[in-house]
Amino acid sequence: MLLDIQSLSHQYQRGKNAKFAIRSLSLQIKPGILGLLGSNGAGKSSLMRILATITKPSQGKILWQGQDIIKSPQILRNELGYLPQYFGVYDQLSGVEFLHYMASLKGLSESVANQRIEESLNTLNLTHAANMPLKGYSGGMKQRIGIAQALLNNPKLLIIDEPTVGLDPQERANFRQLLTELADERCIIFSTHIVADVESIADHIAIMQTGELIQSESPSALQEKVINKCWRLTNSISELKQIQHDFIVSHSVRKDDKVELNIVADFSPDARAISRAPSLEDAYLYFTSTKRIQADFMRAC
Amino acid sequence: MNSLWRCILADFRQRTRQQSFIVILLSMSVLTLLFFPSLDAQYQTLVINGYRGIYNSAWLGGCLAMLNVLFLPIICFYLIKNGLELDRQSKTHELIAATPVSKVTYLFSKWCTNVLILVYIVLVMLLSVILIQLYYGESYQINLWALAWPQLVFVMPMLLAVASLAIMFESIKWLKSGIGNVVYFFLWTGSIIQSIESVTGIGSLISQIETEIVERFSFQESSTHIGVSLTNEGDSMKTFIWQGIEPTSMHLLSTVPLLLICLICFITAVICFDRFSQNSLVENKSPSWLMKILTTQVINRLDVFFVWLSKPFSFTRLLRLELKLLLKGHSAYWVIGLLTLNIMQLFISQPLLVSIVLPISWLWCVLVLSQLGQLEKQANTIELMTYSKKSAVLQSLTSYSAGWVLLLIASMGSLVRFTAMAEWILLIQIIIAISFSVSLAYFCGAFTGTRRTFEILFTAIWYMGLIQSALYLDFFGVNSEVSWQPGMPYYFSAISLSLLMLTVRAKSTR
Repeated sequence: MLLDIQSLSHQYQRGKNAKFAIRSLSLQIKPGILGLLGSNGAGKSSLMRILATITKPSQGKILWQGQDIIKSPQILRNELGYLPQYFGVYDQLSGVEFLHYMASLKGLSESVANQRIEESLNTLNLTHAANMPLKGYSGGMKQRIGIAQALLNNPKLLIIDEPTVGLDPQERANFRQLLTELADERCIIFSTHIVADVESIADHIAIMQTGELIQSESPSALQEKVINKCWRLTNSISELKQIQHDFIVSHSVRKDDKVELNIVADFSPDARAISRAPSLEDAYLYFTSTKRIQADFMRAC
Repeated sequence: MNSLWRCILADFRQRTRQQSFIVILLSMSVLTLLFFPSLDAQYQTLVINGYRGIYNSAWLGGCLAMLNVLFLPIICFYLIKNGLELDRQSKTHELIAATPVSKVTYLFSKWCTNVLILVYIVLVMLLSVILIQLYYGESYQINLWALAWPQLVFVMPMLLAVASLAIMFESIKWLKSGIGNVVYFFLWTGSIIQSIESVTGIGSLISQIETEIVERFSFQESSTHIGVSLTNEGDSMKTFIWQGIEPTSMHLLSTVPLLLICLICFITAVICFDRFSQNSLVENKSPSWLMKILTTQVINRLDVFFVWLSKPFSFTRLLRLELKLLLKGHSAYWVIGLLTLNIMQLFISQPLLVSIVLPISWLWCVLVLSQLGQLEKQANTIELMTYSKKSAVLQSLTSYSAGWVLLLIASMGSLVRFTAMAEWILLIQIIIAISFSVSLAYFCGAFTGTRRTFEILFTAIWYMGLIQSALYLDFFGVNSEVSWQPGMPYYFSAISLSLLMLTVRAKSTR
């Protein structure tokens, strides 16, 4: 089971001011969870839509189990579960009715659909609201119905774009647990800009910036890349703004009249700074922030 | 098959569980009741040589089929031309696009839902007709077959075709928006009304009734009137017993063209439907010199002037921004068209100006004006607007005034010309027409939350009132004297004011 993305580009404006959502992106996705990280506008959602066969890319190939899905999208659609970032439901239907509708579109037989719907509602803790109209659902419940519809056909490839938006902390933890259980037998692409969501569960991390893939490693390998670049500094609050301006600050905790900062930099930001263990968020910020370049330049000066 | 049924059922439930659907059913029921007046009513709807059949099942079934064949294509098309749009609006389209469902299956399920909704409406009308028969009591014998077969033979094929046409209009990119609504209206008025009479075979039913009356009551020739005709006091309507006819193979054969239209439209829809894909690649062409001049020299300079002009008062500042909101996103060609119409207004002969060019100038603005009253809903800014500092009444009035300014600009050539010629009556008529159009747009937008209602309603009133000179719908007074005599301008002024007050009140209680 393999999704092979080869030199993928997607251009959404031609001519003088040509604009690319994705540029020459190549990536191999194996069973397990791929955490796709990137800031807003990095091209994650565009990539998701292309992989979900909704958008045709301008260039490149996508092979699913060796077959080109750009030419024959139907091959993938039969094995695909997709939850877009922004999605809606038929609000006049109940949860069960809506899931039946989605199951029909996915071509599931009545008996399989009944079984899968019951399982999904149980797993996502929606059984109590199954017969309620969707217009009465809270944001988190709607998000869970979205997840349930994505799982209906027991997909081999599950693409989920910002799925934890609207979920409370308990629901987020449950959802991460669910993904971990599902990951054994399928490829899961989990797009987010919240690093904590993928930190503990992803087998592989891909980081995108301005349409390009800038890093593709395991979480531990990414953390290793910034192992000597993570610092802790306790400083006065008055200097906080200047430090934030000059360096990547991944975390700050106020302690009385001081502030404890986690800084990511190629060099020690201050004589008082002490080295610390890196996190995935440090690595993400290090590779996506422009301050790294500025800091390098300052050091050169 | 079971999957298809599930799709149809879900779509049907989603579209019929809305309150608006109940309103539609009630309206259709009322329309049916109005189509069958009592003998002493001040109007009649189907009169042949002063005769109409007694209200038995055969007559009611036949007449209901005529009503449906004439009016359902226009009413129902707009009711069901939102099947695909609802999926886009509700943002379920991306979920659907990622499923393996084929274009044919998806569109077929939408078509079936459309047909089911239309059948539902016809069933409600049939039920109303049964009640009418029992209420008038001209014949208490309910013959279900006599009531139903004209609907099955004459109406059903037409409903299948309308369902297909709606899907086709929604699948073709340029027809799915407001332009499609206007295009269909003219398609219906221009050709469909003629072809429906002959294509559906309802014409043969009418001629059979005519022949029977001519033979039975020894008339030289038949004189049929379908539609609303006022009856004079003293003129008594005569009735006769019409036993009806049985469907023949000729009737069935006459449905073939409509079934073919249905098939062709469905195939076109399948070919044109984009399956909610988002492959649009914008060609970033450099704008032509004409566009550059229009945007940089004319529009931008005008805006600078308006900024200066509107500076002193918050009302005028807000008005400029409301006008900008209305006009944003419309093609420069639309502006050029508006300018051309204005120039024509200055030089064309007065009869042509009043009967054609000025009405066209207003119709030219229908897709812009239809945004009034529902922009907040469309842009999802209702909550932002609710806690803004400006009062709801002020916001409503600026929005309303923006529509006014737009139509004043569209009528500028005529205003200048009539002022120069001291045609004060015509100037007053223009002002009343603008008031009515803007009030109607604002009312429709605010109460229905969609642009479609105004686009359809205004086009219909515009066509029947201004082009066909139907006195009670002529909000401008194309034939000035005829219009002033019964005081139509006063009625339209009162309607405009009432619509405005209702809308402002509704908006201010948000």
